[in-house]
Amino acid sequence: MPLENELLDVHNLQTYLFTSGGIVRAVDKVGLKIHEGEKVGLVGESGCGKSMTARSILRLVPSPPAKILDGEIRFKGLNLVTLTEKEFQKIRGVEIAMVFQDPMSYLNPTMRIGDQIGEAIWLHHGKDRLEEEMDRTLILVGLQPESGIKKRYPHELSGGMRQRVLLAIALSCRPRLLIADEPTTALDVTIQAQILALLDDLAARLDMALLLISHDLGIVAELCDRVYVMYAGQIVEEAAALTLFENPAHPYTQGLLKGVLSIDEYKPTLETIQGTVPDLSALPEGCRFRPRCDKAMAICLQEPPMFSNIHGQAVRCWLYSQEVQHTGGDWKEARLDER
Amino acid sequence: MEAVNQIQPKRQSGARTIWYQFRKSRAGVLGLAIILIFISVAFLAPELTDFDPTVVSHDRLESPTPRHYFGTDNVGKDVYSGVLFGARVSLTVGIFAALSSLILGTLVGSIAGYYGGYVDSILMRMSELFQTMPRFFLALVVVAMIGGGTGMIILVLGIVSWPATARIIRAEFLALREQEFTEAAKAMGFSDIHIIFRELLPNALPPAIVRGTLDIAAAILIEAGLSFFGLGDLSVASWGQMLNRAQPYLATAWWLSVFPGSAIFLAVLAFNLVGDALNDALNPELKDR
Amino acid sequence: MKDKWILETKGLTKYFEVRSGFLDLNPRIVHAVDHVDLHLYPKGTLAFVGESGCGKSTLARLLLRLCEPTSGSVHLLGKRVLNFKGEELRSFRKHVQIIFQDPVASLNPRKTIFKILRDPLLLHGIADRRTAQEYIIDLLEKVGLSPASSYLDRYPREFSGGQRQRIGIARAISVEPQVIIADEPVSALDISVRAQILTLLKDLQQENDLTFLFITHDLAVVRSIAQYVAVMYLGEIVEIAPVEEIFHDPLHPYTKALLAATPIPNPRKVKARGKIILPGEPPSGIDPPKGCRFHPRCPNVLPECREIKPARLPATNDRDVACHLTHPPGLITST
Repeated sequence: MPLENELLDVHNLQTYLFTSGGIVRAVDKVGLKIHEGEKVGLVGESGCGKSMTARSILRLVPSPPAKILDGEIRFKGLNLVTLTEKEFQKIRGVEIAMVFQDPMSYLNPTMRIGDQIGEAIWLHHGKDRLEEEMDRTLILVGLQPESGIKKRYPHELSGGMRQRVLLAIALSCRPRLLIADEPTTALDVTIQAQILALLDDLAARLDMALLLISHDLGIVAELCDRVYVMYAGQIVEEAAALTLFENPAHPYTQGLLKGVLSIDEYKPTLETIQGTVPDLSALPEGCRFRPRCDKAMAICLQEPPMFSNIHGQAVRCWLYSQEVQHTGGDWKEARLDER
Repeated sequence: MEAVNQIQPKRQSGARTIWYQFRKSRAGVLGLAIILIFISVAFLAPELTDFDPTVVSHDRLESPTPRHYFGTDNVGKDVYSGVLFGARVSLTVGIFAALSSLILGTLVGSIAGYYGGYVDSILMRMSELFQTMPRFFLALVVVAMIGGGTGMIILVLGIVSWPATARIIRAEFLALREQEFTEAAKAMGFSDIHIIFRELLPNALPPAIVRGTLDIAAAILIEAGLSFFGLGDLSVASWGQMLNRAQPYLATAWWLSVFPGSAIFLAVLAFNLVGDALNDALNPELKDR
Repeated sequence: MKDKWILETKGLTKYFEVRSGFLDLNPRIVHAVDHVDLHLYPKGTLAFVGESGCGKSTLARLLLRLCEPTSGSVHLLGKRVLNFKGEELRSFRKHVQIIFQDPVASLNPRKTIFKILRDPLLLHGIADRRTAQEYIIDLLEKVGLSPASSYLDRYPREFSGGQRQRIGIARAISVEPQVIIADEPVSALDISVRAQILTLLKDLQQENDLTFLFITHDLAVVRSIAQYVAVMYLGEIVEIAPVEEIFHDPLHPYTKALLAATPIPNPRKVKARGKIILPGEPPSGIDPPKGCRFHPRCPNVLPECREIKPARLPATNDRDVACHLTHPPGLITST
């Protein structure tokens, strides 16, 4: 039963890449929910499928080799998957917008900043009071219209300013949801702090939801209310931020947090997760994390685990399934909440 | 100490990947087949015919017969043998001209690209001097003034073609020298010579090699053109010369122009196809991962 | 403590000229590195921290003599590095090695792993053609790549970032250096791999008595690996101290801002700590500000900061700071 202020409900999303080397299961039955005004983090290492998930939501996957095979994406109750491309253009950039990691790649190097933002506004608002709208948007992202920035070209700006411009373009229609894919990875740490504070501020001021995609656990801890953890194409854990960082349930999350470097404490030995991320075109039997898990049980080899819910935290792991706990690991038919 | 045991599944080595990609182009494979046929023909020419292409006979202007497969010319020379032996000349001139251009271009381009600054400016201005001259006419003028001989033609073609190769190599070097592995080599203490020839050149050569195959095609064509104008090496049988002598008989003895002409066309086409396919085969490799 | 420094610089400076065209007669000057003094203790780890434009990468290149300084000196074990030529220079290169940031670009894509590792061994006479293979296999095992023999005939592109970085590390230690400069060695790697590589480096340091100079923008990495930290801003060292002192009691406002800006993977602590958001951007080294270079962005700026450049002075026994807040001008006489 959807909550009243549920904004985005992704269910069973599947995006595979069909390459000459095999079928890459980049996004394999992923589900997530975002409520109005909520800041949600999607965390995972490179290759886990988090970027592809975001792009699938906005139908921005490169189509060959990728293909969205299945899934329901409900936005304010409406199933986006059923929309035609023309209808979807009223959503993309208008209701749901996206900013990316490297602003330089996403800005047209031969167009002035003013023209690029203006173009976005014109596309969705029409020419009415274009200058006014543009100035308002610039102020929103912390840039001064009087500073002459509208006449500049992208290469004349610093990394932080470019990211603000990208945000301005994304926010030109005041979307309900902003997806930010590694928005600060290419920035210096003091500039990153500025941009994260800006995102926080914007989410509050515009009553806008935020889906922050990152490999950096630190920025997710800084900004997000709720976090999803992805591994090898699947969500393995979901919890409120505080819960996730203080009581991680999934062995992968636990391993990540144990090995993450922090200015917070000196760790004389650095714990690591043994092994490496599996090849998404040649996944192991049963649980995808099993080869690297020090708590693996017999059932982990036989069946891929389902989700279990423990105190509002969802974990995809046999360790937490009630049946498994009763029978000590050999249970074959867990029938729990499949997302 | 933890061992990282998982190795990626074995992927093909450099040369094999190039071949694998190359094979995907049917045109390229066709071109390669044609080239191989021509090379074999050039080598085996004496075995493939009983006739000496330079010997005149009484069977003049005969159209193709089971005895003279491609007919004979106005002094009774067998056209078929002419085409077979002509392949030797064309391939020799083509390959050696391209090779000398490749060597000279690589030397100049690598030094200019690696050192930059004044060295680069001087070398590039020199190359521009040669590059602005149209190859064929320069060859024409030089051979007309100094006299031709296969060796002279090869030399001239080499001199005219090197600037393009030099530019290609230089462009590659400009990019490569900024790469971290170049810095790593310097930090390790390797000499500049080692870095240029052992570290960077293997990376820079592929596009120059593509250019080289196209240069072979161009050289064959220019040589044929020179011979057509009577400026080639008159002591050897050459496709261009055959075309030259075919001029008065274009309407009457079609075999005198069609066979040598087709040979030129096929050879040039084959090298161009291979060059294109090679270019495509080398580029996906760069976009790995 | 002052004697037997392994690496030392005095007034090391590098200015670059930026010309806006071939014939620009008044090129602007980028103050990449400005009169840097530093000492490296043997077998220790000194980390250089700073954001883009602070000069840390240029400093690394200067120490390796991959670029020539505008002025100043570098001494390795007491000898003037800038005088080295020929054989002496090559020997220097053997003693001071580098690990790069980008595991993709730092290995020659057209050489096999075997060749990449063999050529340095031959160059410096560590092994010859007969003994090279054995040596290399041993080396690969040491950096955790096993079974080593299967790596030899492959090309860098067949491996992951972490594996390539290990190969780069193998290359650096293969020539038995005394000092290794690591330029952002884990920035390009996944978070779970970073801990692996840092652990490897720490182990190798112990086994081979190595001295490390770590360059990074990430304070979290610093805390895991360094004993001393030098914070750089616009070509200068603004604070240099033992690592725990920097984290418990930072003195320079920029250091404090860096710490406050570095995300902590712990939401409770995030809420608990104060935020310092620096305005503006890290400036370029062209025409640095007068007085203290940090003053335009400093939250605690004083009038004298705009006029007088703060000298780098000792704050405690083991620690230097360049800031008027710690050393008000006029009260301290310079040493």
